[in-house]
Amino acid sequence: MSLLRVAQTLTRTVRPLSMSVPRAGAHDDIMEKWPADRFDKHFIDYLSRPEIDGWEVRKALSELHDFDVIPAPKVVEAALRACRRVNDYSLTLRFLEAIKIKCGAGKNRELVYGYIINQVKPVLEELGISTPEDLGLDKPELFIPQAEYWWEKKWYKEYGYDKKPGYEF
Amino acid sequence: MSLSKSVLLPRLAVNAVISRAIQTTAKAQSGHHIEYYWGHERAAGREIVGHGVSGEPTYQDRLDYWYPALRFRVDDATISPLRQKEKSDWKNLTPEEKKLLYRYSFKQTLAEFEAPNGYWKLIASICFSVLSLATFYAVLLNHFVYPAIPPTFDNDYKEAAVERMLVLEKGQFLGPAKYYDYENNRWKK
Repeated sequence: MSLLRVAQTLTRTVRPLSMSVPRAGAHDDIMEKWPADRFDKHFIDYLSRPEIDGWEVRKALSELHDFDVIPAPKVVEAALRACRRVNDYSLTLRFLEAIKIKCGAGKNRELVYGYIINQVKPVLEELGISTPEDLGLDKPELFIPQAEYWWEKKWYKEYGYDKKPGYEF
Repeated sequence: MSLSKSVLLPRLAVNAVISRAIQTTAKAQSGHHIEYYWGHERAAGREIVGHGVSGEPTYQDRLDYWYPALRFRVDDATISPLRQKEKSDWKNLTPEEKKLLYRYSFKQTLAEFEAPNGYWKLIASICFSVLSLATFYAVLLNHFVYPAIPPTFDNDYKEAAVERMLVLEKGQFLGPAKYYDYENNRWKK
């Protein structure tokens, strides 16, 4: 039986290579490979919808955060306007910090983040958004102790645990 | 606060048992009961604003999923008027109000999240103290416990053994004789 199959494969003509290419109409789904304009347009279109929801803004920003790109100034502008539409000011600050995360650290952060803020300054002024630097949030302000590593005695009083039952033990 | 009713109000559970003591049908055997899911108690009325990491109503600051699913704090009397004010022009918000809005939605700013927290000193000190205790114990064992090693470990003994092998195994093709130059009385270069 298998001998017959082997004979069939030997006599059958070789398939042309073009059969393995995806059929016409199936576009490439890998967004990293898209050209920059198309990538930006995808996000700007989604964020410019007037009926956008808070959930959808965060979905778009999370997806933008997933990619290994620093958002272009046009995309930043669209995102800030989307936050304005959903009336969420803290989200704009969070998004500006997300741009800082994407820039990496150190010198790159100053250069690229500074450039983006300069490009986006008209929008910031129009919407009344202050950057984290203006508010003083670019330096650490509060400290959260990690209870499993160390716990000072004075923190019991600060966090109000001395009023809870069992404190004397 | 979130315990089941039968633990908080035991007398009700007792009554339920007495009223159902006579069962007409056999109770169906079920091996697995779904564990109680504390997610909604933990969320504690905080507004769900997004998908976050997994879709669960939990708050977590993490660099790859930077927008958590919940607000950090529950909406209370200080923030509700600010939320109303947020709906109008943002130029009217003072910096303190802006900071308050941020602190109500998020636990840590990026600077605080990335700031060094000094716990490495505690961890390093624990590591070094464990290593030093182990070293101290090993030194004690070597000094007080282990019996003396035989003289065959001394360097002088080992050199004398090699010389003996050179004399006895002269002409062999293995061992130290292979590497010794007998004409010039030195090791081969």
